Amino acid sequence: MKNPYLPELAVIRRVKEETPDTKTFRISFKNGEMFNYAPGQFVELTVFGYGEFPTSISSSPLSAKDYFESTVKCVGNVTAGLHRLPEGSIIGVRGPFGNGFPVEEMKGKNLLFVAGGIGLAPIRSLIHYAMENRKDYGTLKLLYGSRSPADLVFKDDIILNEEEAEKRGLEILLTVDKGGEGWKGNVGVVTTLFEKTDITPENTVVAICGPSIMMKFVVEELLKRRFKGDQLLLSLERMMSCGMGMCGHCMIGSKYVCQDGPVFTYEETREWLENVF
Amino acid sequence: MSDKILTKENLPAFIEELKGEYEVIGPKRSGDMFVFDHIDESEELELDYPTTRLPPKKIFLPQREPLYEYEKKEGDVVIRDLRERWDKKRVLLGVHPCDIAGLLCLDKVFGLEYDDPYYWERRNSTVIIGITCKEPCEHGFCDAMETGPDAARGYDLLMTDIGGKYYLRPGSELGEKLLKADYFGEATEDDTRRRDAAIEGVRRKMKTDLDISGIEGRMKERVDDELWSEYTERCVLCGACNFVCPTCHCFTIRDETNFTGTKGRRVRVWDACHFKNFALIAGGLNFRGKKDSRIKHRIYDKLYYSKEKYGEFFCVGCGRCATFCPAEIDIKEVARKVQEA
Repeated sequence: MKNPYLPELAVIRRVKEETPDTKTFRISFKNGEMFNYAPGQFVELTVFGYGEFPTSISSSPLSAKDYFESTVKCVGNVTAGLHRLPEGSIIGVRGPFGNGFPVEEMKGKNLLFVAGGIGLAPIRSLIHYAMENRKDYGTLKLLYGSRSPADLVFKDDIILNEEEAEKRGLEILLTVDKGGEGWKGNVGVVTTLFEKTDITPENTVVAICGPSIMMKFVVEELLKRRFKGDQLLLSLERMMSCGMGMCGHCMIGSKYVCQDGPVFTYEETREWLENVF
Repeated sequence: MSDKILTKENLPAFIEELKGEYEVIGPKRSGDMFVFDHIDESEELELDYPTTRLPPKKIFLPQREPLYEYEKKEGDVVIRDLRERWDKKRVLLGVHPCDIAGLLCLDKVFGLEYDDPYYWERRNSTVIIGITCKEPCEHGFCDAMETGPDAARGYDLLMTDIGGKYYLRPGSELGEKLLKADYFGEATEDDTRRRDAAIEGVRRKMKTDLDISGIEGRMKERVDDELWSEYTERCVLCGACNFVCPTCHCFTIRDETNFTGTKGRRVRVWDACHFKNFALIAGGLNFRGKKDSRIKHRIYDKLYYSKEKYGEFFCVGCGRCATFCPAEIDIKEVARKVQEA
């Protein structure tokens, strides 16, 4: 019987500093094996000597199979341990786990992405996937907010580069909670961007990821704009510890976020006996 | 498969025979209670026990177990699987029907999407010999949960005390093979009648005043009901009910490392959804920070979520939670209240 608790050894090939507290790690398996995953799935990363934590995959599964990327904010002991590791270090990987975004069902739709802070990580995987399969999807629009201009992740990625994004048919709207020197863009929570562009429910699917409170307000705003619950895809965060529906930590009602999610439509969460946000 | 008879004088011979091939684990006295433990001498075995402190889940999902160890070596890492492999297979003897039902629940958790190798290594190396209860236990309500006093599956052999002898019913090919020795006699029709009467006698004595049918619907309707406030007030969130429950399976994985962080092991330990930080995520957001949400979560997991996810209730009516609750909360009473109009 294969042991799904044993991590596969992997090498950190590249570390990119995104913000003062967030880094993107490019990771390859030590044995050279390819990695198959879907946008929206997650992995469990082991930092030997510290522990293990669940984290989204932030790269697209199409661009390269011999590595994946994970974008990690330094928030605790284990993530701090990871942040200290130099390129070439050995870490452990389990996964991928979870369902990911329903990229097949989303075909032919206009895609609206709404992200807050580090919540852009799984959305970035999806945006790249959609850009690489451009003809399968309608319009692409990203509303992204962070605390400050310095906290915007993926600043050097094409998804936040207006010119590059436009070439690929992605419209970008950015906002920050608190502006700063040189910031000429919008200031305010992410829902303030809804006033700045056309957002209509027709043939549209929305992928949402960010802090719980932000997701709650984004959903409220979209429902006001006559979006239906099944048009809203939420990528949820819980403490997925085993990743396999056994340890119980990520339960919301009867659902295991690690197995049944982490992507759910808002519609299905309405049936749950525990609050989703 | 045919049922057999074992006279009580021959029980030690049967246990000796089992010990030849298996490590035997069964109920043993421990202070004023009983525990499942290794049986070295057949006299230690106490088959007329009311219930044990911990259910047999501790054998398959130990309170604490190492998963693997690792060592950092010259820029590389070496991992060694610490999955326990028994030299000798085991016989778990004297398991009550409620606890057999509990194991069947755990089988679902540890074998639904993924097979948990630590669990199955042990589970597949263990013969289950159940025994039906001679008397109802103080807090048990297996009759209401339909997990007792008889068992229909989940055992290799099922014993019933029919006075002076045990009635043995095989539930698997392996169980049948264990009944080959010449001290087993064929069960007569009269023996079978006595078996059924013994179980019926227990059922009559129990007559638990609880109708569980449709409770999942009532649970759903009453999620915001006033009835939960009483339990929120009384419960001290000690986690005892989680740990003594035959179906509670939650755990936490953590690393234990040496001082320099070059060597360590990953272990898993039982955890409880009653504990404050159980649903805490990175950054400090706690999805069950409020006391009532944690109390409700566990009861809903037993009487609603489990039904939705696995098709059956993860309460087997063993009564241990009521036995050990310092606030004297009895899930049977909770269920009854939920069912009240």
